[in-house]
Amino acid sequence: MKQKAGYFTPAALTLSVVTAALADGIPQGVPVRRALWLGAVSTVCLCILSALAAAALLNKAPSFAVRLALTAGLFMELAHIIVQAQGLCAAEFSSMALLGFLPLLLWAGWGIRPASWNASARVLWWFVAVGGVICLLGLAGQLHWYRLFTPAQPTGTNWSVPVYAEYFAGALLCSARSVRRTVWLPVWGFAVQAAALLGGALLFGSGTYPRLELLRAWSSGSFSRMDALLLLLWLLCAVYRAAMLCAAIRLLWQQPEAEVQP
Amino acid sequence: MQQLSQSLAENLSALDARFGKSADYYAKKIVLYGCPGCIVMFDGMASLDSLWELLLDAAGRQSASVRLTGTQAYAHILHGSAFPAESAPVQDLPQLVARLTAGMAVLLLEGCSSGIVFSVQGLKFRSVEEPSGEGNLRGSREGFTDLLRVNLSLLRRLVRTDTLVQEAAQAHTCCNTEYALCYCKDRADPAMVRRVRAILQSARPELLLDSSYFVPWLLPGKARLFTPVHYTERPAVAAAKLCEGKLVILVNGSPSALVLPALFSEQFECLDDYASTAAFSSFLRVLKYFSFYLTVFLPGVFVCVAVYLPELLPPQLLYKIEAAEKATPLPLFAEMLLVILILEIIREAGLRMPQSLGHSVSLVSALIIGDAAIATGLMSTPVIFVASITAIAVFVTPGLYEPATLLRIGTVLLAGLAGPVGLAAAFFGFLLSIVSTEALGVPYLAPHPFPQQPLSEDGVLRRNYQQLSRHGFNIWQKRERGKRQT
Repeated sequence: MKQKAGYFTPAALTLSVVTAALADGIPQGVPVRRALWLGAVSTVCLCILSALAAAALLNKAPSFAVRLALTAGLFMELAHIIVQAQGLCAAEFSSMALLGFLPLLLWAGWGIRPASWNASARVLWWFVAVGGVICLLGLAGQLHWYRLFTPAQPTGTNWSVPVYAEYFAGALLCSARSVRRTVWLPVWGFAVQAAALLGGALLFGSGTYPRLELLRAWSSGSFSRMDALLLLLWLLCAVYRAAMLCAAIRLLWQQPEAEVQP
Repeated sequence: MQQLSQSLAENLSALDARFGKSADYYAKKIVLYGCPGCIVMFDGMASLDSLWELLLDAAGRQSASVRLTGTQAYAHILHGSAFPAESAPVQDLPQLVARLTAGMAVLLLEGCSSGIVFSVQGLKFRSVEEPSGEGNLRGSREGFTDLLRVNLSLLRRLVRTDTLVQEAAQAHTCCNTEYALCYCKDRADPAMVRRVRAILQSARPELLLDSSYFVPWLLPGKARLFTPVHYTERPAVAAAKLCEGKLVILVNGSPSALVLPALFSEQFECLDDYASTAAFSSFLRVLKYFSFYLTVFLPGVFVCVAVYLPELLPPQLLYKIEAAEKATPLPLFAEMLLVILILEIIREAGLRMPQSLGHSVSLVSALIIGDAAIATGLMSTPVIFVASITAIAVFVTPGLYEPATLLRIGTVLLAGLAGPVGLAAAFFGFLLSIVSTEALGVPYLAPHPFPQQPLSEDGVLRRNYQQLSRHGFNIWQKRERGKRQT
């Protein structure tokens, strides 16, 4: 039952998914074109599953099992994003400071109401948009279509698509009016991953380079190393995602539980 | 509450007991219509000349052949003559004191337990001048003065409609300071007006020397970086805010009007914005926003980039910074913090010191900061350059001086100690503090969902004034929209 006023907006959930997708990426075990096709099909399936989950949970009190499952999913994502962010800080910035800030971050995530995270997401979306444009401008001259059609493509068979708990928790985390928009969260995740995959293929051709190389290839005039800035931007989004996931877990458990029929 | 007595002597002795030792207390016994009476007032606040013209001259001529009792004389002056007395007489001593301290003269009569009030204020006050703190190229040059009644008249002159309400009341302070709550009854939210009125009536400040003293009662609770109220010394700005449905609080003795609720974007607006073209005012607003973020984040970003992410800097710039830093004993972070603190000390000294000393202090400061610190190798030129830019940029938005200064120091500390993670934490601290701020249910940061409606019509950029005027702005729409968003 939607009784409380504090819910997340679809924009906040989308930012969270985009942040995760930026870090995860599609495994490059299959050729790019095939990966894109498989990704598109998987995304459609995920959208259908997301819609079914939304229909099942909309305007109903979630059962304990549903809440537990979604909490476990969100918690795993929380742990995953913290590990990813700390790994980035240690590897790229030679800093362990995130561990020091972690208690404060979790406390803020738990204590601050969703409306504040929604408003923060609006500001961060601007940053993401500007960062995307900067990234594209720095790579524009180096992307070539012919590299998509090089004969030597990866031929591995392993294929997996990242699935995030937000895809299925939209009905419980967003207001009833905006649930419909959360059904498209998998599309956002896929769009980011496909863009990164396509960017890598257009830039490097068939080579399976780490995704960070895409940022390191950035170049424009006297500024040649903007990757640290873009990583800093991702770190901002990761910090946001970690805190938002805390708030989402809290929101899940604040909702009234469904009555168990004897 | 001590009622006035019918005995003139008793009333005068009660007043003597309170004000007898005061040099400005004036009590003159007279006889009007054959009835003994007394004029009481404060010298310098009420004008004896005006009282003579309004009452004493004419009443003296009329009363030569008339003999009336106190009650009859009271009824004659108040109701049976054309003397311009106040319609509400005073019945008790607190009322009498309130009128006297407001600069009025009171006529007490023998055998009458009410006093007749005459508005003969002759107060000396600062004239209506252009406020020094709010510069404008176009529009009104008038500024509020220190006297509440004059300020109310300035507002009334601009808002010439029957919807403007100016409720004056006396605050519960040791000085019984008068304040006024102003609003347009057709635009302000009635529930919020009632709420603010109740808060002001229940507030118990020890002293009330400025409208800002009410802020802890109006916005109680947690510590905040941003205060969602706006201050202005211009009647034109206050009138514009009233027309947006906002509430204006004026306090006697202060030219500063408190406007609430306020939006973050309003700190970047001024009267000139609407007098120039939309394109130019939008350009200026973008500059102002840029200056604000520059002043908050530039020193922290500089420290973070130079220390932790030097690869972001172009090589030539990096070499120059490196060469400058090698010559100084302090780490970059400590150096930046020191320069910021010194600049704050100089600013505070410049603000508080006598104006006659201003030039000397400016000269000494320029020598110390600009030359001596670099010559002795204590500080480097890039650090002083960055700190100076931020110190100047903050004055583009004077209304945000306090949060900008605190945030700048916090950002430098966090970025210096924790690098990129500290910078991210500082940014989130800033973001969360600004998005959590609200006043009377109106969020400080207006909700404009990205990317559906990323910009306000009158925010960072503004539309043509003709287009803006088609649908009037009301602050309470923001609250409703904000509620819908959540």
